[in-house]
Parts: sequence; structure tokens; C-alpha cells
Amino acid sequence: MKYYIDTLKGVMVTTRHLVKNVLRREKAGVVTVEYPEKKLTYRPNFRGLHRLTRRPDGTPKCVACFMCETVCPAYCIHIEAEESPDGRIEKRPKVFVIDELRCVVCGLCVEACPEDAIRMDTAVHPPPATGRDEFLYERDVLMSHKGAGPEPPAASGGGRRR
Amino acid sequence: MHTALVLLLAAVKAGAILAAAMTAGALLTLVERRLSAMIQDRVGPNRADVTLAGRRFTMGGLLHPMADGVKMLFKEDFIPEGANRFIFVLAPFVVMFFTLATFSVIPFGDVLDLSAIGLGLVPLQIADLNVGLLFAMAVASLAIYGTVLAGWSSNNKFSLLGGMRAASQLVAYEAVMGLCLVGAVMVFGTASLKGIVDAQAGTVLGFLPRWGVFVQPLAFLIFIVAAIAESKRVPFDIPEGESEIIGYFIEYSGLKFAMFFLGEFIEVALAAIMMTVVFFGGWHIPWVDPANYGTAAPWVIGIAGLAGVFAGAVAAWGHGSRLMGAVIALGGCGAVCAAGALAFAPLPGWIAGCGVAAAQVLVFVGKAAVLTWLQFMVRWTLPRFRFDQLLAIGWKKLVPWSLANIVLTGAVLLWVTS
Ligand code: SF4
Ligand code: SF4
Repeated sequence: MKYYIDTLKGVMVTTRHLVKNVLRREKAGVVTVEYPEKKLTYRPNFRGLHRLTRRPDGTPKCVACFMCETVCPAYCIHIEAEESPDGRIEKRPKVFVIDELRCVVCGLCVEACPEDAIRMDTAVHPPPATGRDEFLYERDVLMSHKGAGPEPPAASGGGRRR
Repeated sequence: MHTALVLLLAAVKAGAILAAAMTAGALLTLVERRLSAMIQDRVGPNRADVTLAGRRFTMGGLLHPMADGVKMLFKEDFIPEGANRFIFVLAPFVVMFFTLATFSVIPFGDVLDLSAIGLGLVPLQIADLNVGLLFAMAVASLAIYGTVLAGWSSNNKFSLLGGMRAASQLVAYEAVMGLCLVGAVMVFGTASLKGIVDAQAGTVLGFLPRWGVFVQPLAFLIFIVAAIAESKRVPFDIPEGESEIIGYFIEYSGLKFAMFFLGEFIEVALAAIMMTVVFFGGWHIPWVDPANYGTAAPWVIGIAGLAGVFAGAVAAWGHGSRLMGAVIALGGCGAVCAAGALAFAPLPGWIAGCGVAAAQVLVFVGKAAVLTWLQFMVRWTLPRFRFDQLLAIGWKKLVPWSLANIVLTGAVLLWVTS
């Protein structure tokens, strides 16, 4: 008997929510965000799609040190280095591919990079695609991504110069 | 009357009830999703739309059951390797068939006199069996075979275990259900569902409607628990446990899965209908003598119409679904007008009779809707029972109580009649 009464009390609680939400949905405690129409803004430290930052002349800051590739727990970064022609730095990435499908969005690559060359501040997700190949983001694609926050100052973290 | 006409009428009634049951099941899927969303401070499905003349119409989510149906239709119909193909395909049909077959003995209204237009007396029931209650119980419990067969034929250990859980739970609560209906049969003196409804006209003690819930309160409390358990929904959803423990229909996909799902919702409606018939006076309008139904019918239809107008207004302004709200409100206005016409216009007797029948069906559907709603609310309120708790409640609490109810009913009947 007590169980029936308690159940009815519980039903009253659910009914209260129901009536409140049916009668005045906008002002009631509905927490759903109607996603495509309304979007929440991400926190500044949200880890989004990767990007490769550039020097003022547009070349990648990356010096192909393989730190990120080494630290990546998902083994999803692939780098091939080549000698840098301008002589300011030794190496630069010829190929730099991130497999966004394997990426676990841990952010360790950003932490590891000594050059501030890889960042996850784009505040976007990898967009959906129809094939796995399309999730392999090449160097130039990664360089074309725009950061959502302020750009890093050109001098700091800009690599050691000779 | 001509035999062919009788058969035709029965076919028309069967078709109408079948269509109504399937539609109700489909709508209940939407009601459940919207209701649970509202309870949990969410919004619920409101996205499926049609575009007419460049405008999106979502009708408050009303298109979702249709979209679901289309989706289910085009999904891969998967049969696992090593499954017993025949039984695997048969199982969902067993569930659906026996659930729907139970509707054949439900009286939705009194006998409608259509002799004036040559159709004779039309009972608003497909078949009035003198063992209607037993038939309903028997057929509904045959649906258990569907779940057990589904679990067994899938060639999957987890679905087999789900099927075994379903079997032991349903056997337990089937026994409870049967036992607590014995009391009702003793009080009303018949096992025909129409007879049971007829016996619930009038009042007891001068002010209470003579309903099963007031003459058999203990039986009702037991029955509602057993009925919720029979429909295999939370708090008794151990056989399925979609999210955690794997249920008996894990291997089903596409339309076969939809049949299990729809069958479950129709079972909920069926449980509400059985409760309406046995415990809430079926189509009887409370506190109105059956002789006065002619004058009461316009009131019932009018009140239902006003409720429709109110629901339409809520849908239109509270939920931004103008079209939907307008449609519901228009229906409500139509019902109010019909009520006015019934009350004041000089109509031939058989149309007034139809009005009374409509009022009876409305009252019946209204009661069943309230009970369905109650089941939904319980489902979204309580957490799940553990399996030993569930069986203990069934065998150690409800069975003794329903046996006690039989003894008590017998004693009271003896005392009253002697
Ligand atoms: S975020 Fe983590 S997983 Fe993704 S590329 Fe960087 S290190 Fe690898
Ligand atoms: S992105 Fe940074 S860590 Fe990775 S190879 Fe380039 S410089 Fe090294």
C-alpha cells in the first residue's frame, strides 16, 4: 500500500514537470538547445579541428621535429621531413597528415610542439564526410584552417633563428 | 438479416478497430517520446517535416511516426546466421496477431439501433463471447510465445536469456491477472465483457458509480501492476532492458523490430482498455442513468469538443505549431457544433442514436486515454525492479493478495445476498 502511495507521489512530480513544460515551454526549464538553429559558443580552451600555424611569410612554423607524431597516443600523425631551402631552419614538413578519424582529441600534440606550430583552437569539428580517406587532413589543408582565438604573436614561439 | 450483410458489418467493424488500434499504437510512440521529453525538461522529436509551397510544416512532431515507418521499411531486414529462419520470422507476427486479436471481444459501445436504415441492431463490438474475459486473457497470454520464440530462434545467448526472463515474468503476472479478475467475475456474475460493462451501470452507496474499481478496489490495484508488467515496460522491463541488459529482440531489425515495438504500445493501450472495461464501467457515462443517455450525449460530445479546442490552442500558442493547433481546434469546434445540433435540431431517431453511440465511444476512449497516460507516467517515474524483486512481488505479494481478494469477495457476496 505504501508503495502505491509513493508511486503516486512520484507520478505527481513527473506530472508537475509535464504540465509546466506543456503549458509554457519557452519560459520553463527546458534545457534543450535546438541545434542547427541555435548554437552554443565553445569555451576558449575547446579542442577542435587541428591547424598548422604559419610564419609571417606564410610558410609553416613546423620544423618537422616529430614531437607530436611521437607523443600522439593514437598514432594518427604522419610526418615526412625535408630540408628547408631558406636555411633559417633545418627541416620543414614535406608531408604532414592527421587522420582525424583516429584522433582521440587529447591535445597532447599541441602540448608537445616546441614551436607552437600545431594548434587546436579552430572551435570547429571535423565536418562529416562520406569516406575514410576524406578524414586524412593534409598539410596545406591544415594550414588553411583559421584559429578562432587571437593569432600567436609572430616573434614568440617563432622558432630559433640562426 | 441477410448473412452477407452481417459478415460485411463484422468485416467493417474489424477493419475499423484494426485501423484504430494500429494508428493508436503509432501515435503512442510519438506521445511517449514527447511526454517523456516534457517530463524530463526536454523538447522531444519535432523535426520531421513536409515542405508545402516553400514552407516547413512539422505539425508538432506528428509526422515522426510516419517517418519512423518509412525508415523501418527501408532498413536492412537482417536474419542472423544459424537462426531458425521460420520461427525467427514468425515470432513478431505472433506478438502482433494475438495482441490485435484481443480487440475482437472489446465492447466499445452499446448496441446501436440502425433498423431505420435497414442495418438492424449493430453492437459496437466485433464478437460478444460469453467467455469474453477468458478469451481476452487467453489470447493476450499467447502473445508471450512470440517473445519466447523470438529470444530462442535468434541463435543468440543474450536474446535467449531475455526470452527466458520474459517467459518467467509473464507467466507470473499472467497468473496474477487471471486471479484478480476472478473477483470481478464473481461480482458481476458473468464473464462476457459486454455483460460486465452492463453490470456497471448505476451507482453503489448512492453516489459512487457502480464501477469495478469501487466494488473491487484491491483487484484493480493488483491488476494495474500486473498489466504494466504484462506490457514489459519500465519498471518491469527486465525482458528488454534495451540500454543495459540485452533483450529478446536484439537480433531484430527493420519492420520486424517495429512490429515488436508497435505490439508493445498496443499492449499498453490494450491494458488500459481492459481496465476500462472491467474496472471503469466501459462506455458508461458516470452518474447518468442509461435511460437518459439521449440527453447526456450532447454534453459529452460538447465537452470533448471544448477539450479539443483547448488542446488546439495549447498546441498553437504554447508550441508554435499553428497548423496542428488549427486542425485540432477546428475538430473541437466541429464536435461542439455536432453537440448543439444533437441537442436542439429535430433529427431522426437513428442519428440521435449514432450521437449516443459516439458519446459512448468518446467516454470509453477518454477513460482508456487517462489510464494509458497513467501507465506512461508510471513508466517515466519509477526505476526498474531487480529480477528477484520482480518475481517476489509477483508470486509472494500479488498472488496471495489476489487469492485473498477472491475469498473476501466471496464472503462479502454471501453477506450481501443472504
Ligand atoms: S589530439 Fe591527441 S590523438 Fe589527436 S593528433 Fe593530437 S596527439 Fe594525436
Ligand atoms: S607540429 Fe610541432 S611537434 Fe609536430 S613536427 Fe612540427 S614542430 Fe614538431
